[in-house]
Amino acid sequence: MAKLYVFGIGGTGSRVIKALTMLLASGVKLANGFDTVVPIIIDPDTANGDLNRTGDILLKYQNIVKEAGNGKSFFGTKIKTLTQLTNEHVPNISNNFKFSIDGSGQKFGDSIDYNGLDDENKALIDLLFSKDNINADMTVGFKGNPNIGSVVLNKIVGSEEYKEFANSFNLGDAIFIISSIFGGTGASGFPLLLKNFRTNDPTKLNSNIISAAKIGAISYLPYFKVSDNDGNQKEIESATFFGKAKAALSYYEHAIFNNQNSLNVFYYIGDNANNNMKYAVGNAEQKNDAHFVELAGALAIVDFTKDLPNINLNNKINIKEFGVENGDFNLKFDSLGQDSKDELKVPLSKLYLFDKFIKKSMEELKKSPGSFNGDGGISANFYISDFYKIDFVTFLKYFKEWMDEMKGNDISFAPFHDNQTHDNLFDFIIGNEVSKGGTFSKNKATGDILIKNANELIKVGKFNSETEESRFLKVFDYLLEIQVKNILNIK
Amino acid sequence: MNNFIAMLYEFLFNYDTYQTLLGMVFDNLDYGKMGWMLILVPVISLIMFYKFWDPVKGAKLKWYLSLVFIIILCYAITTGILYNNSEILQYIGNATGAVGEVDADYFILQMSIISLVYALIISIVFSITFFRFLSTNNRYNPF
Repeated sequence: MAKLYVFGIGGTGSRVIKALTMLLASGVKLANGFDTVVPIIIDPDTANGDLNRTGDILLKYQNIVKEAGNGKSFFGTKIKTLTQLTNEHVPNISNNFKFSIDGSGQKFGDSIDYNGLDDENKALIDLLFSKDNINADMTVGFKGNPNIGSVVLNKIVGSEEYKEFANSFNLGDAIFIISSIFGGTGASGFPLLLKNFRTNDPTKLNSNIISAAKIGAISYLPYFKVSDNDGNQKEIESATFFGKAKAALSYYEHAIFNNQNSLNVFYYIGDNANNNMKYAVGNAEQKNDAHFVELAGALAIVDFTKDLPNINLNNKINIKEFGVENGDFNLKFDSLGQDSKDELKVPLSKLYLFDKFIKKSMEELKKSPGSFNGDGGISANFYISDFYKIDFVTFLKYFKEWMDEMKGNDISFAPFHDNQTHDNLFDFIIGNEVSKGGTFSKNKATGDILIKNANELIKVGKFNSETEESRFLKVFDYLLEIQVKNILNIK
Repeated sequence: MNNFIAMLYEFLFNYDTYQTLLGMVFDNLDYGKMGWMLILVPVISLIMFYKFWDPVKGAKLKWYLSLVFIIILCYAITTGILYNNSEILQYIGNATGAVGEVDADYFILQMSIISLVYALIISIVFSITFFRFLSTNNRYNPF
């Protein structure tokens, strides 16, 4: 079984890793035997809201898998930290998803010891960097300055995390890099990281395997603007996004695209950037709403694993773009291309319905005197366990928040209704209405159907040998798959 | 059956007062009919509830309603059986209303209430000991 190392650079990297985690939780699988994802977040802004939220989501995911095990669709792919790969007994530590970047927590001038340089070198630095650059505080990242980022991020190969990455890398493993092209951290980090991966340095462990590994990457073109109403000049200006993207693409052309053995698959994605994110220079305030293009980026990672057998290292770079079937600004499942629909429809619907069931029907299930709540089923203590209360329900809260943020963004991705009750629970996919019954017809949308089926499954002892946590997930995994396929008319 | 069920009813009456009417019930084999009723009505109703209806929503309330249905049915059937006993009907027809004379209508009312109580007890015992295991959604109903 192979591992996929996913490097998420900057805030966009964190958000795409979050989208990938949601897909894996819903049951989307990587292809060609990739059963483990190793997310690695590279962001000098360690207090970044997006990064910390993603870190918590990954931790919750890990805890759920640890308690409930594998062998099901929900949470069916392992997510591990570098430390866990090299030492299986190390407990989950969210910080381990993050690469530490030496020198990033200070002013740029201090990190290169500007004041200690001789006059000639100072003059050279002054030529390459402005006074603002030299005085820039990097605690919150490179604030849209790739020239700073390229110097600081070059140090990551010397970090402990990089050594752990190299140490754990095996033949058959692959790498995927996520970055944005219009900011500072991503634009500078991606080519540097790629250059380091592709350099076969015999003094470094597994360098020969890493340099020959299959590598995919996605670069985000501008897909949002930042805005604030106070009229002051900002360190990050949306107006510079396209200029920076063009400059970076021009650099990528000769440094990456014209170099045959640099990258195997490259994905572009962007949007016409009508949506405004609240201006935040970094720290906890940088917590942008999820956007559909981040979900599309996560799909690119899945697509990359499907493409791997067709990749020959001597081939030219395979460049791909993402598109939707229609140009509507309110995307539903039917707006997507067939591949995306096939990949997303069932898993996302299952997890969304699971969340709705927990919120709208769980009390009914708990009250039910059926087999589910008895011997061989789920005990009342389960619902006050850390697994359920702290990990599972919180993860679903993050999932719903993610879906709601995508719905509220421009473009909007809203494939589901949000007005379910227990009695119309299954009528939730836009475009796939389910009869709620009437005087002479049966309600086919009620949550009672799930409760009844859950009772039946427990009664026949289908998951008797499982732990309570695993049984809980597997019962709903099995039942929701059937119900969602029924609703979507999938055989 | 007639003898056994007679025991269950007769010990609840003052035998000296109700001897005539109790004898009429016994002679007409009505105790046997009531005995079968006390078994069949709860059995059939509980199979209907636990196996075929097996409700998900408001299961406890629906179980209570099923019991109400069973006891009312047993009450009505007992009343029906006794009012179809020709000897009792003759007794009612010959009644003078004199002081000290036993009221047959009141006797039938008492017999029906006793059937109701037995039906309730039998239904609860059957539910707990056996029929709930036929169910998927009411395996732990009433507990």
